[in-house]
Amino acid sequence: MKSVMGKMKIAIIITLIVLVAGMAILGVFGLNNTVDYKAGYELQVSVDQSIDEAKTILKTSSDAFLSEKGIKSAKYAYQELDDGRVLVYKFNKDVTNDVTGMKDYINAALDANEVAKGAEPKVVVNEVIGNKDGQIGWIILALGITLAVAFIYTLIMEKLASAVAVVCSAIISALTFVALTALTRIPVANFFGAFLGLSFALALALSVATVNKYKQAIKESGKDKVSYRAIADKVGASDVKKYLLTLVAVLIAGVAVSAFFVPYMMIIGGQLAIAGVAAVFSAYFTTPLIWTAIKKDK
Amino acid sequence: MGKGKSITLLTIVSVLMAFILVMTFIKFPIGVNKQYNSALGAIELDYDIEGGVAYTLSIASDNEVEVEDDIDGVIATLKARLDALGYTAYSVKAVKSTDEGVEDYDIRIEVKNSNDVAEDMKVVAAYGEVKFYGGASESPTTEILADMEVVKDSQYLGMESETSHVISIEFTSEAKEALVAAIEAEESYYLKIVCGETEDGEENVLFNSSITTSAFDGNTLGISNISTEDAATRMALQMRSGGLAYKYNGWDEGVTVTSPYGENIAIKCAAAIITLVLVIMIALCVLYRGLGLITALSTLMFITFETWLLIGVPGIVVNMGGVIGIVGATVICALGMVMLAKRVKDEFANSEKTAKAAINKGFKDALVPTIGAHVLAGALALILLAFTGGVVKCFAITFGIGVAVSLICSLVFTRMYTALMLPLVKNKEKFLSFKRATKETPDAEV
Repeated sequence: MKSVMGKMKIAIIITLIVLVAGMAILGVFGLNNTVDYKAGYELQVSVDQSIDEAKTILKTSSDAFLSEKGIKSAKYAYQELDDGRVLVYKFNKDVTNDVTGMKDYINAALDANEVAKGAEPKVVVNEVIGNKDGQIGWIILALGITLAVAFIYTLIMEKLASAVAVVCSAIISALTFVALTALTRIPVANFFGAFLGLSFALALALSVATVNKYKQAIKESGKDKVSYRAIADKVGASDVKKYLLTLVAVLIAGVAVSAFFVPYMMIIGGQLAIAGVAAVFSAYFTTPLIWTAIKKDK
Repeated sequence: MGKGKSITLLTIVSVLMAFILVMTFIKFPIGVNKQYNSALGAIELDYDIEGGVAYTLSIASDNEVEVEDDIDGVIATLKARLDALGYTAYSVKAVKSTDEGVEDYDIRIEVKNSNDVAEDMKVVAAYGEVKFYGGASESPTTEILADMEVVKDSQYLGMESETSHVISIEFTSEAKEALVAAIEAEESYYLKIVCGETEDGEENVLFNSSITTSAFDGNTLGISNISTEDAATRMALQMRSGGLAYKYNGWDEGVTVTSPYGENIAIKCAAAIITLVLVIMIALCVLYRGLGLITALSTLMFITFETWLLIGVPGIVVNMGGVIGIVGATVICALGMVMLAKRVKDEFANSEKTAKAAINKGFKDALVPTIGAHVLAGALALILLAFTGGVVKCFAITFGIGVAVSLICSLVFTRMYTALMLPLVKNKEKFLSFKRATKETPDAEV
């Protein structure tokens, strides 16, 4: 099996492709916001009576109508107001023309029920100006301050090469996460900043542990002449389990969250997986790359 | 530690842990009509996880100023007010029917339901400017301080007593001079501050009392005798931001709203986190055998204590950012356990030490990287807490708490379980799956 330094060329190429492609897509199209965080449309279906039968028929007949017509809402975006008396389906496009006849369809279903007969449905399509999350500037500032703290801490504990390696690893992880999110077009919402922070934190933690092992390995080599590249390879080989377990843990978390097949939860699971992949990949390859580059072999 | 002592202590710890686990995760009935909901059930959840209440604001028929293109400004003002009142996860959207002839947007606000939400919505959607009236008689009707900027800032200061809370109003220099001149011109002077109207069409009076120039500290006027902290916070917000420039109705008609993420999100999130913890525990046991069992038990303690701290630490309301923080802290905990187990195993493999000596040295060597990883993760949490709000702030809180608990579990409880379990094991190397590294023997020279 090739050593970590042996895989470096491939890792650099992959990272560059992901970053360039991701940032290009980000620049042109931006991130793919969920329907709650961008301009869109919603279909509001309601009934004028709060009888349980009327509300149940409203839900089943609305779902049936949309299914028959092949109208797919942004599936992760459905809410109920007023204990189910008002249903809100969210869409990326105007569905006014698509839902012609929906009111009569629901009315027929209500009239067919003895208890719900007489309940009057209402169907309205609304244009929506969504939420805007204005926190990204503050998040970037917070990450920048954390980078400074991480640099100073690692400089004191481990020395300059390690400090630079840790900082670069965290930056590459954050950029890779953003690039992958843009590339995969996974919808993002107000918790995007939390995942960015998570990817950053994981990369920092992994990287700090790795540079400490470099220091340990140098100490253990004593008077033997061992190159820094060899040390990076040795530590990379022995640490691969740690990185894999971290990656598996995050992927398992992503799968567990997505396992209920609730669309919003699948988005969260997907972003969790991307955050983990970005952190592990960046820390595993960037740390030895920068560390060996700064430490010149004698 | 002797075998007998180990067994006794391990039994006590196991019984305690079993009891705490039951209290953390299991619901059961108590008596006839009561139910114990578990610590997990006691965690306070925000609107985006458990749903809340929705208010739809429509432009009033007697609104004087057209909203036109200022809808983004209205949304921004409402969001700023919700932030100021302490709401973290909420939704503020403008909706307009696609039917012909509909010109105005309605605003739909979705927030966590609470006892104060109705009063908060009054303040959030309050209409009208803050106006000042003054004179020699009570409830003055003569407007003063018009045509100038009056209030620079207003903040909640604190509690004088249980029923008396204080706010400060910082006036601009021009307004303060004019007010002081008006006070000094009369023997006694009454000030009334009004912001728009109530739902009954009456004046919304924020302050109505006599004042003297001695009540000022520089440009700041303190107002006390406000009955609750929430009322004081709302008053300070209204003083600071005034009312909306447009009149909306509907802020008194809240209806229930489900979570935007789907049904039973809380249960699904809890199931996902428990699954993650179980998978981590199994992986540790498989990879590191006896040492993995020790670290797995510490991981179990981590998630238990994090759950209790989420209800023990006051003011924590968990939203989706908080859930992500818990997942992140769990991964950091797993990373810490792997670092410890790996160091201990490597120490035995690469030296001639006994199992006990290798454990001690391994734990010592793992101290610096474990603390380093946790300290940096904790620093990120603190910095995010200082600079952000909303779901990211909740992520910072749960992640920070989790990282702190993880550090304690990594350094303290793994040691504890090691000290308790090892004396019970005959073959420590076999139990811990310790192996010496094979040394390469050089080919014999011919």
